Amino acid sequence: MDQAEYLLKLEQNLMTGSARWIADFTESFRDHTVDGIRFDMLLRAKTRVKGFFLSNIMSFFILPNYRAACFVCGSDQAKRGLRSLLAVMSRYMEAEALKWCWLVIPGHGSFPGALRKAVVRNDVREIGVALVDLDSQEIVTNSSFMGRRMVRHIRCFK
Amino acid sequence: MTTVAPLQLSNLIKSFIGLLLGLLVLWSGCGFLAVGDIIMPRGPLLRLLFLGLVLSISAVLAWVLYKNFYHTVLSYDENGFELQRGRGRITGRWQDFSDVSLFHIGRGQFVVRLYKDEGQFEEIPASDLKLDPSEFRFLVTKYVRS
Repeated sequence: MDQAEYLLKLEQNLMTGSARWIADFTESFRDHTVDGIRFDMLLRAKTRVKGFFLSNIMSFFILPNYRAACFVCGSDQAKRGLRSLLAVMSRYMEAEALKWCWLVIPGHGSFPGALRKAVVRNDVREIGVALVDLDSQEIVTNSSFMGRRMVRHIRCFK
Repeated sequence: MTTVAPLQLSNLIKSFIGLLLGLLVLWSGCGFLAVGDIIMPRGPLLRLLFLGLVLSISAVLAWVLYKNFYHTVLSYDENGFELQRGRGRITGRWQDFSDVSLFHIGRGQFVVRLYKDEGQFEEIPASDLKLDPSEFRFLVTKYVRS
């Protein structure tokens, strides 16, 4: 599977697929630049989902009203430095009042050991980071709740 | 210039059913106010004619309602676009916009949002126009960035 195809499937899964149980990803930007760093895709979400009359009422009273986002960035950018990516995301989260974020890094072939370690050791609670190997379909995430939660929603290879 | 103007059957049917129910409720209400009962013609032929008349009136009114509020026509080329929805009309040049996004408005319906620098945006209802929202988004992005 090539990266463009994966991005389309990921976008579809986040906006209309299983990820709607987590948040309502309503808006998708492609090739979006944030603080000078180009992200292949940026999806913005709210945790209060919309629906018909009764769903809206239930959603209003039960669900929290957080804003969230999912960043997708090429592996080349991530190999240059995960720290700078996370710093940009943190600033964006602060500016846009986001409660949590996902960072998906798709790539072909296995990722460098240093990058894998950096991802696994990332302990920022509000950011889930995932390395997605499109060849072997292996996904490595950080161990935070956000990281563990994102796996099933970004596993869209078929 | 490419023009897209598909018939939005769901909106047309929605208008038709709404008007049909509205007319029947109105007829019943008038009957109750006038004689205390629903006024129905006597005999099967007259009843069929009455039903045909109500259906015809609903269909004509639904078409007028659809044309004035829902029918969407999009014309575009590499320089700009013109979007007509019902009586409303928006025109724009791609170069006036700086960013493009795909926006999910619910129930699998998408619009393509065109952002200006000040954060204002215009929306092109890609799903209503029976366009592939993702493909159309890429096309618009190409026009905006070129």
